[in-house]
Amino acid sequence: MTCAEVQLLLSEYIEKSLDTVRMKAVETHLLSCGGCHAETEGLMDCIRQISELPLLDPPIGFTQRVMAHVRDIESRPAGWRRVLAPFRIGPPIQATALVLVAIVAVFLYQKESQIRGNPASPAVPSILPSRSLSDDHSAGKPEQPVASAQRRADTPRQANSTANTVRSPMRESRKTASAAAVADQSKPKTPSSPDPEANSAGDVKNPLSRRGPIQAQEIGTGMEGLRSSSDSFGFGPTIGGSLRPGFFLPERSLSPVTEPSADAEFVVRRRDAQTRDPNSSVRSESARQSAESDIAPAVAKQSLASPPSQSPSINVREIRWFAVPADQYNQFRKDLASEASIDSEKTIGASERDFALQSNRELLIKVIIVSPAER
Amino acid sequence: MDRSNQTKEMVADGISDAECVRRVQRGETDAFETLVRRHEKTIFNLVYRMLGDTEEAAEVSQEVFLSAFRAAGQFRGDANFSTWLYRIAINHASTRRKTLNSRQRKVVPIESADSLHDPQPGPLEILEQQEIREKVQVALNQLEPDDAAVILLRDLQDVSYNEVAHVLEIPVGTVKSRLHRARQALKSRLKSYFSAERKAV
Repeated sequence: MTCAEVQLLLSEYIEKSLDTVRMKAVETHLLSCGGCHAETEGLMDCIRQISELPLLDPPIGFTQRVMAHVRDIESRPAGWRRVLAPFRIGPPIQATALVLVAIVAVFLYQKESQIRGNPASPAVPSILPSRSLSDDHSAGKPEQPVASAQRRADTPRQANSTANTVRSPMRESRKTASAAAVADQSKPKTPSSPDPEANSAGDVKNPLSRRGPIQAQEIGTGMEGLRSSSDSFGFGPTIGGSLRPGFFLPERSLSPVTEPSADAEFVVRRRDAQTRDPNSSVRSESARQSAESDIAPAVAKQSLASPPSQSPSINVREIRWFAVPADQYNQFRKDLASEASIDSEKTIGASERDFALQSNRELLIKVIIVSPAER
Repeated sequence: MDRSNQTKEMVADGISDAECVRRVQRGETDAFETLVRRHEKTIFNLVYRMLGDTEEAAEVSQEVFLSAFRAAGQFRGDANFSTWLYRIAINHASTRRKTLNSRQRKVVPIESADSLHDPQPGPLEILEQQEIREKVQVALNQLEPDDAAVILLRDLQDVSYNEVAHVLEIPVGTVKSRLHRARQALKSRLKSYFSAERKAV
């Protein structure tokens, strides 16, 4: 046996795990070979050193600690909670944090748009036509009262129709809704309403209904949602009576996240006073002018006073949301076209409209009103 | 040495490891406590010798048992529970060794508890034995984790070749050659110390 062969067997020789023939052979070699003998002694020393290492006791309470963790694992639901466990934060805290962050984000977004919107407000009248769109609910109504006092007396009727529309639930059939609207319109304009609820609603909305919706003061007030429906955008009673005030969403509250998707979208341009309202009768025109004589000249003066170049509000856009019954969509579009020039429109598809008609759904229409000066 | 008798003690209290595992698998968590008590010392010492630090060893040993508990459902009983546990321990200890080595490895003093286990040593003997053990521990920590594991299983824990083969999932022949290679590596690291000792004698 060579030294190399013996060296390979030394470990087993020391452990006496070799067969007797090889045990004898190694033993014989070791007696005659000093090198291999020293090697064997070194290995035996090594094994002894390891085997004589004392066994230490585990730390006191080791088992209890392990079992505490084991019971913790057992009581913990599997899955994502286990992933969160190292952070030692319960999911409710994280959810709360998330909600807080979302609230702060929305708040900041609204704040920012308010800051951007407010400086524009004072100067807006300069770009507005002297005739506000608000006067136009006189358009289809030759018997429109002349004095502002009379107009004020007329408001409960508007509120009444508004209240009727509001009270009719969404799922109510389209026919009923439009019938109610028609009934409201055909109702003689008695200043007093039999419905006390409607009266109170009218009282609340009364001051707001006096304002023209596109008057500059309103951009940035956030009160659009409270505006009387028949008064907004100055549509005649056909559309105005069926518009639901609840759908007049103040544009400022619409962050990109919360903005609903519109069924149709119009970009309209305000017309100059001279070109607007071709349908208005002479009578209503004169009535309007006398009714608004207290407002219009002031606006016109402002308009003359401030040159457009200095107006920071030149690019102010106003966004209006309308909820229109599907069967009145064409009428809405026609009235819109008579009120303002439609720059561009993204109308609802025929099939979508048919579906809306069948399902009694109201169409959500977004109208972006740009000033005549805006490119 | 009492270390080889540990397995026999385990069955002495009536319930085998395999039965304990079956109970754990049935949801009897208390049965796992029996397993921990039986094997904590073996596992703690194996891990401690591989890492050379009692605190690290306690932490890793705990992880070993928790891993075993989590994976108890996968234990099929075709091997000894101890074999299975050794494998988990060596895997955990090897991983920790690599982590510790990748950091700046601190020089770990071998705690004086080592000397308390020997019967009636004189003050000089205590010093000498302690010195040797420190050298041995340092040498062990300088070995490859696989080499240290095979030496510790065979020479410290007195695990049979067959079981070592099962633990490391290698053939018995490979265990023998690896053990021989590991012992020689350890011997060459301790050589300078032993030769100095011999000269002194």
